[in-house]
Amino acid sequence: MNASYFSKVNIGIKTVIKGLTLSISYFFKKPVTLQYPHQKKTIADRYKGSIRLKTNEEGALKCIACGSCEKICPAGAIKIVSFTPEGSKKKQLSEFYVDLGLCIYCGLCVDSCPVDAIEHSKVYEVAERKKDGLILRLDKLGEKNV
Amino acid sequence: MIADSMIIKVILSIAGIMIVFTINALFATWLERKVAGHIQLRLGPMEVGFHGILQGAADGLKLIAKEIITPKGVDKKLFTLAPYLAFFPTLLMFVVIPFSDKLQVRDLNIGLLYFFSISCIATLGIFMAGWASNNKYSLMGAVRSIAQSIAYEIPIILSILSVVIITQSLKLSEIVNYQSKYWLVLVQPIAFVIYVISAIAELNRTPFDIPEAESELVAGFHTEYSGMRFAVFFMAEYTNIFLVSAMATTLFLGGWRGPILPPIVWFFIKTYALVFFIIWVRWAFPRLRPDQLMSFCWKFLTPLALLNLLITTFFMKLF
Amino acid sequence: MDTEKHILKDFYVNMGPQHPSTHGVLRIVLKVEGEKVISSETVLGYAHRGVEKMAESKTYVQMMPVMDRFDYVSSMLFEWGYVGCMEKALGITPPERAEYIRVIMAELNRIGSHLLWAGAFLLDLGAFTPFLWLFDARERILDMFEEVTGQRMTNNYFKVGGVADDLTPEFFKMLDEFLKMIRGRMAETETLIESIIFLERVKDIGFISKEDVINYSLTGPVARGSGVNYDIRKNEPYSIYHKFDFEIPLGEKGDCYDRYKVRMKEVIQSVRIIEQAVASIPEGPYAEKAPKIIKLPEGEYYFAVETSRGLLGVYLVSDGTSNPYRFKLRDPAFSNLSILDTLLPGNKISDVVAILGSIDVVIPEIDR
Repeated sequence: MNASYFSKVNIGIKTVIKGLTLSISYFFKKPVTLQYPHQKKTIADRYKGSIRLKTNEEGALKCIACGSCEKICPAGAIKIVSFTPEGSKKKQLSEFYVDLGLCIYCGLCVDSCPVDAIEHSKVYEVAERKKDGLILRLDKLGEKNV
Repeated sequence: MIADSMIIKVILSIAGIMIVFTINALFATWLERKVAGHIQLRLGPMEVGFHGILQGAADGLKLIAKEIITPKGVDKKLFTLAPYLAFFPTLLMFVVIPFSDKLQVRDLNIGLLYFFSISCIATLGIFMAGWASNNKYSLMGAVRSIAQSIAYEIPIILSILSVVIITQSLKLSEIVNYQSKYWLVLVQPIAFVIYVISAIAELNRTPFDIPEAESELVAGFHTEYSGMRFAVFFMAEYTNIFLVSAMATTLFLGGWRGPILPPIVWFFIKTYALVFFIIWVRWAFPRLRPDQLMSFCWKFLTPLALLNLLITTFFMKLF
Repeated sequence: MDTEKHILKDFYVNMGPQHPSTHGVLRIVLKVEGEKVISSETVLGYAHRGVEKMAESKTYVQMMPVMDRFDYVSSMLFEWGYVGCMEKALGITPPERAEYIRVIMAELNRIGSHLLWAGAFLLDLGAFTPFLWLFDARERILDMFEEVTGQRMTNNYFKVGGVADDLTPEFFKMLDEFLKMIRGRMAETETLIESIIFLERVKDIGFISKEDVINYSLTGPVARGSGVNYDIRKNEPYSIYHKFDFEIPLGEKGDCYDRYKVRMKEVIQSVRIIEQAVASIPEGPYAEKAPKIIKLPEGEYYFAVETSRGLLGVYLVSDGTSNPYRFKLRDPAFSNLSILDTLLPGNKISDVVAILGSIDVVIPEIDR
């Protein structure tokens, strides 16, 4: 029973009372919880949600099926099927698949597109019940993939 | 009279105990989660019922529906018996608590002694759970828990002895009657503090919750229990919190005494104020290491309780 | 007695890969006698993904999202290491505004990492509340990241020549509110944390001497907690850190409490740096023109930054093509973890958790 015993008792009583008063003061503050799904957060403008294809003024897809996004995707989530119509040398888009189970939402495909035909939407609730539901066919979805 | 008939009394008391026990299990778990949430700047349960008040019922349903897994190498008889051995004494302890001046199942004249002797049986249940689980972590948790329970019995008994010396009776209704002039906490503040701290240690709650330390030993002595058996341990813990607070109210805070409201309402208000305090302490502090826990008990609480007892005896002799 | 020794010897306890407090999948095999640890062995590799080999088949641009995913609690600091190495090879210097933006983002990342560390440390010791108070502060940082980069955690924001996008006025508003509340929140959380129970758990546990720091090449708050004054931002300054006025907090004894205190003080120093950066950020472009397909000239390049855990070194060997020939990371937590096997013997099992927590490991960074 030397001096450090009583000094420990002293520190003990002081810090315990400080801790208790501080925690109870937080009890009376307003909670910061958002009750999802009744209340949802406002999403920032630049949010990188699931990707979608853009359309021009006439409503046609801007994608030229060059394959830059397919080559640059680090996870290999994009698959493009294109065809060359007769009488033209340029490729046209036939099917555009993205596998949301592989996509890492990095945005490299958006950066690399030469004609600005692909963009991020603000959709983040992409859960599906089956794994096949995660493979989206973007050229058909159009307006629905908002 | 019908009210004097023994059988009617027994049936009514059993029904009363079960009602208090169930309501406490639901209410105390809801209170714990709500207090924890608000201290941590969040809301706690909100979905089931108004502000989550039926969450306890939802949890109970979930635990009943879970599969009861018995691991391979366990000692089957001990493994199945352990939760019930930890739980059953709590029901017995309800017998002596004075809920109001007329509501007390049996006013034994060794009421206090009965209460604390029965509470020791729960420790056996914990050790059986740890040993029978065939699991290193459960065994270590159980061993620590035994050491802790045995050590902290001493400050509890010493602090209560001070109260008994003043009131000169072990009968709980007489202790409450003694407090008609002034509450015993005013003359025995140190004994009150020691009792509450030791009770938290007996309950295996933070900051003394080494036996069920989540981040060190996964879940201590009840690692291997699932479904209904875990629910039994869980309910035993919350009933114990209620009982310990009820005893503290009876001994120190004047029991059911109070001015305007009916006595039973005062009893519950005081008991749940202490339950709130016990919950509050859990969410404010980290946990003690086992050897620090032991040295805290033997080197600080026990000498303090002894000193308190000496001073009380001295003053009782003088006046 | 002889039989006693036979019963008690070789009692192995596995703080196994799945454990609430090993911060990932780390396995520590402890040989205990009662409560005391006799020897310990750390087993790594449960989260190994082969990233260094993966880098040889990806282009430099494709590796950027992968750099985020090493230390996901403060991803932009790792990105800075990688981008800095490439810029050194190509000889590109980013414009002034880009440097200021990088410093603000990096210091916010450092604060976020330390907040998460403090919360997890206390959670291991059994206090549940500081975790949530600190996470509330960290949420505001993540909201700021979402505003500027589009993602909360693995941002993919730094590019060769600058950053991907400029800061918005909304960001500055959020930053202002954050800077006003963080000092008060840190002070209150420290008052709650430092009760007698915490001090008893953490003081005089896990001493690391100065010789050990140098022999085991420990860096970061682990080294600074023992009094070794080594911070890349001051010793070998990169970018514009020489323009800011900040201190390097040092510990004295080298126990767990000193390491905790060093990190808490570093948060305040980072807040100082951010305030100075916001006050003097210039206008201008946020990125230089950089080639679309990046090919580093032949040779070896090395760049070091100070992350929240210590010194990160990025070493790139290029053979002139668009894929790296060899990519090597010297990550801080791997070297810091090497001291665990010498620190643990002699302590009790509950101290293992405190010591491991104070070293601050993130397993994907170690296992790569």
